[in-house]
Amino acid sequence: MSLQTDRIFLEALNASLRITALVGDRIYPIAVPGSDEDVLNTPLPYLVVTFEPLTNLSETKDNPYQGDEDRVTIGIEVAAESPDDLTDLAELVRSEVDTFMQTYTPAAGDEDLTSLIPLGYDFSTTEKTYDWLKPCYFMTLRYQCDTNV
Amino acid sequence: MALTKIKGQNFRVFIGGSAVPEATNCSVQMTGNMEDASTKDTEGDYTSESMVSKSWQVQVDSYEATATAIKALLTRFNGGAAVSVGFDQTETTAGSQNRTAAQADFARTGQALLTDVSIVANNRATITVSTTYQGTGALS
Repeated sequence: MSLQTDRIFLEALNASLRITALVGDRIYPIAVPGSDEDVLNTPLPYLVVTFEPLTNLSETKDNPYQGDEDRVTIGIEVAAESPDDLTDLAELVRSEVDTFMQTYTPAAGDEDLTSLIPLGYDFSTTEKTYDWLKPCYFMTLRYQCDTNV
Repeated sequence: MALTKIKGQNFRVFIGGSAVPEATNCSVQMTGNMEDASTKDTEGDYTSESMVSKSWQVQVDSYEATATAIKALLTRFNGGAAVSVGFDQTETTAGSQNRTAAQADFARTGQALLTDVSIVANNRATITVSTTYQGTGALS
């Protein structure tokens, strides 16, 4: 299930009315889709959920090839028009993701994604920076997650 | 022809006839307990040693941290009774989890007491259970 960890983060972002009120449906997996021009024309703000390298943990003599836990880092890239917007949106994402992970219960009729909730994570961020090509301010929130294989 | 070396995953400790599940490390230590038998007749600078007894112990670490497994360890520790402890090479076959004893020539078994139990539970890390069994009697 570890390879689907980004899915639960996308779910967390899309489930937040406070986040979607700001970014609409501009919550993308992996990258903003389309050509360079499409990226430049994507309205701000937006979020991109990335899947960074995975490491397998907890190898035992029972299975010398693979342990039963993984460490996965999920990135949420936040892009906004101004430094204040960037900070506000990043704070909101941080708070909403935390709340989602701790209180998730599937809505009636929806697929149960409980098994994708990480066992825990370490939170960190990149620096806040500026992309003069787009132009926009951006930073990435990083969640180093422990997950069941 | 090169000799085939045994890999760590195929050298396992058996308690009560079963390989310790989810083991990560194990070690076997055999010690000869010595006595200085030097007398005034002993010539030169060196002592004259003799082995007066032998002892052995087995140590194993594992991720087997289920409630059932921990309770069983505590029961064994409190009971203080000797259990069958040994080591053997294991076979790597599909589905065996490297736990099937290969009855190697070097395999040994004896009675031992559970003398140390260490349960380490760091935040967000897999719980590690370390145990030490002190042999009582021969390892044969």
